[in-house]
Amino acid sequence: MLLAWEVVEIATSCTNAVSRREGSRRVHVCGTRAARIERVGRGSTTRSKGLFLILRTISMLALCVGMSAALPSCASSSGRNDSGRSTRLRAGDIELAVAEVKLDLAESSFITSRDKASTKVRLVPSEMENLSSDRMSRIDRWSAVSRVLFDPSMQQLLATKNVDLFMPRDAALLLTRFGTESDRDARVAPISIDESPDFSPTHTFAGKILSITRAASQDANAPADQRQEVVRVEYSIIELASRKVEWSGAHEFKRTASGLLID
Amino acid sequence: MAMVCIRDGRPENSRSGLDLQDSRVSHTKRVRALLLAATLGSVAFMGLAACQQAPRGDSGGQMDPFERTRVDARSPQADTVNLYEFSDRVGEALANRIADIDELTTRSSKAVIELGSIKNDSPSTPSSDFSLIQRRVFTKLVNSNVVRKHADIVERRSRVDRDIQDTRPSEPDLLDERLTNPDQSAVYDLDATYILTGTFGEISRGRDQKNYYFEMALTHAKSRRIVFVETFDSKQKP
Repeated sequence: MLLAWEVVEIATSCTNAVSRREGSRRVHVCGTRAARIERVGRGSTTRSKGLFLILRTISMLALCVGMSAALPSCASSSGRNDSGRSTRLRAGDIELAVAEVKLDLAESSFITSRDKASTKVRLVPSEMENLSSDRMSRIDRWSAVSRVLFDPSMQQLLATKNVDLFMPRDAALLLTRFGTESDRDARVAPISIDESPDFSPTHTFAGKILSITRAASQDANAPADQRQEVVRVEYSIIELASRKVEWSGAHEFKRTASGLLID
Repeated sequence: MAMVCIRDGRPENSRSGLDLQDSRVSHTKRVRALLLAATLGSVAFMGLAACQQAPRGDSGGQMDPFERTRVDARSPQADTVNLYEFSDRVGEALANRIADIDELTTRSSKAVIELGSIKNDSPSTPSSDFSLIQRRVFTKLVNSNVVRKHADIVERRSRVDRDIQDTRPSEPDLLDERLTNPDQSAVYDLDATYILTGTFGEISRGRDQKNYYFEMALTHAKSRRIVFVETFDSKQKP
């Protein structure tokens, strides 16, 4: 039995075939490549010949149309994954932001200029401020901040720089309830000063997320079917008493989507 | 009946090495093979044609904000890439010029730079877009060693005061002397304060063309004297 690719090869290589009959054989020759369809038996009927030709034509057409229609569009869209169905924020976006900002913070002058003997810093995270056009749940806003500070490597680094980490009580409870607490041993803010007299944060670790939204369509009169979101996830360490921003880092990206909502 | 491949007029063996010239393939098998080819062709058509639509269904990735897209080109609002480039220019220009601003460098104590207001005269672009640009400039100043040498960059008071309240003990006894941390952040003398403000304008010309004007300035809070300004003009024709 002929393999499918052999049939395809014959079919595709003989688009300019010259047909001739050699006795009971029908031979197609095209340049250096040739395909021969040989008839040996006498059992073939006109109907089967017709069926054969129809099937062959269908297969050739499907291949040709498929290739010609699809390949240019594939070539144009390859390498730039700039379109999707939605521009909404994803968990991965925050993950990338956290990873980038952790490196940035570790290399910052605020950290590198400190050592164990430096003045103690009591750092408390605060809830991320969402100024983007997307929605973020409270747990996500807290998690986006705590995941930077309570990463084990970051905790180790901060410990060597005489930076103590605290967690607001409500936020710690919230994170624990959702199973995203970064460190079970993290110190939480006391209910009263009697509980922890030394608790007086000096710095806060703040986050902010902002975005620029753009929508457009190819035809000015048609509904917008292309959307773009430029997102900035920003973190900063602020000295509470002076409001001085000691460090600031950000992760920025752009995402586009196409199609109408009904799509 | 049999199907035979011939190269240069001579029969060519198939992959199996068998000479097919005289072999017989049943009509049914041939039809099956052609059906298979047709199916493969159809699948190839559907699968490859899906490439054209692929981005609509896939996750879509993160792109560099400086990469200009079709949406940037077609949107009538201020081009995001231009806005980003403008913010970079402001940050770099201020870092380059701050050493030449005498009233900043000759002070007995460090000056304070705060974020100020945004004046948005553009009817098509929302102020929140310019807020992001202002934050970019702000971060650039924070991370510039040159700027930090001459001035402290401080966060808005309302924001820091809120953080102070959020991080105090849940039931603070305000009469307790051990509660040493302040309940409000510092308020600076206006003479030491410089405010980073933004002005954004737009002029429409004809049906399509829009001219955008971006400006960021550093103003002395007390005298309202502008000590630094950087502008950016862009023309857009979607």
